[in-house]
Amino acid sequence: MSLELSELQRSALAEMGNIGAAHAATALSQMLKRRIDLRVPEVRLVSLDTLHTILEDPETPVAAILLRLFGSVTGRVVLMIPRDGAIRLARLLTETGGLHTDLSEMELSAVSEVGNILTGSYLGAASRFLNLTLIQSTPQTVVDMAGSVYQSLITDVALETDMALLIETDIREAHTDIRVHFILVPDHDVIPKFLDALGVGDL
Amino acid sequence: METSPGPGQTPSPGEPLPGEAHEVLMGELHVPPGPRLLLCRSLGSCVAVALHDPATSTGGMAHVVLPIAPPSDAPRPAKYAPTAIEHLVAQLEKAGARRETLTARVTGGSQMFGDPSPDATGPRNILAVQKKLSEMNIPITGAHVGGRRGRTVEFDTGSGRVWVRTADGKRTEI
Repeated sequence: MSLELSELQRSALAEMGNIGAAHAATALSQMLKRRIDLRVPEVRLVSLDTLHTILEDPETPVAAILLRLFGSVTGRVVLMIPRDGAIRLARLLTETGGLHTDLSEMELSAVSEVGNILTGSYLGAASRFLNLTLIQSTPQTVVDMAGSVYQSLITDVALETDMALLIETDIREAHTDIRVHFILVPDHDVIPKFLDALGVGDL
Repeated sequence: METSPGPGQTPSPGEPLPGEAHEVLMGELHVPPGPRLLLCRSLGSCVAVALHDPATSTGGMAHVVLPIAPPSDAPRPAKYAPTAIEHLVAQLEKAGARRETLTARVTGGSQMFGDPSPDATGPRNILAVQKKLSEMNIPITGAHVGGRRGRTVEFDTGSGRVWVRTADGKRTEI
């Protein structure tokens, strides 16, 4: 299947990402009582075969937040944050300090909450653009090798698709970006339908 | 046929063979022509099967993805547990190994997400690999399987030594 997008589809995807990020920035700013900026450098469709190339080294430790997707489209969302970024994000949320390089239970739950907020914001934007009902489960977070997470995500016997939606997000904090990879893997081959909806909607 | 390393030539404890490792990617298997370090990186639910024949110092590894082949996907035997092990054994025999002296080390098959379930891909992969090895009378002499962790496996096909690395930086020999 081709990954070529029309200019209209490309800009619609980018717009969807920006609207979601704006909502998430507002939610995060309110939660933290300070201004948080989010940028979306890229929104694209990726084939599951090349998903592992998002991060150069598959053994990179990441915090991975997984949510199940229900509603008009079923599937999974995974957000991946390199471990160092996740630790900084957790410190920001929990206002903890220290030099430890592992995430405590409380910090993991703070990172989960960021994943929850981002997912809710992106799914909200996607629901409006695509006129679908998208519902998310509670998040589950692990810290492990990026490759193991990707691999577990894409090797599901029941999976009937080979495409995923990737939204790159940078959370700007203290002049440094924390990169979050938002990956939506539908159970079924619904991406062509997404594209149809994007291509013909009045945007 | 290359000469196999004697005991004096095996690397010091914990150290892999010098030289570049060959990475065995998802759904692939590899039997090198001579002693070589083979690598399966960041296994999740996948299972790495390392077979070694100490009598001839030959070895090879398969990176199994799923327990069974769906009806639609026949052309990739190394992806599925039963056919991957059959093909690996066949290639090892071609390289001079004897089936009667083969031993297996099995790594991976974790369930990274969700409530632990025997129906998850990882646990099913482990069972499928165990079943096939048992059918072929190949004993499992070491394993590092299950749980929720990702793993990287290094296999020195000459000495037969296998190391497992986890995300916390720990490296253990199995």
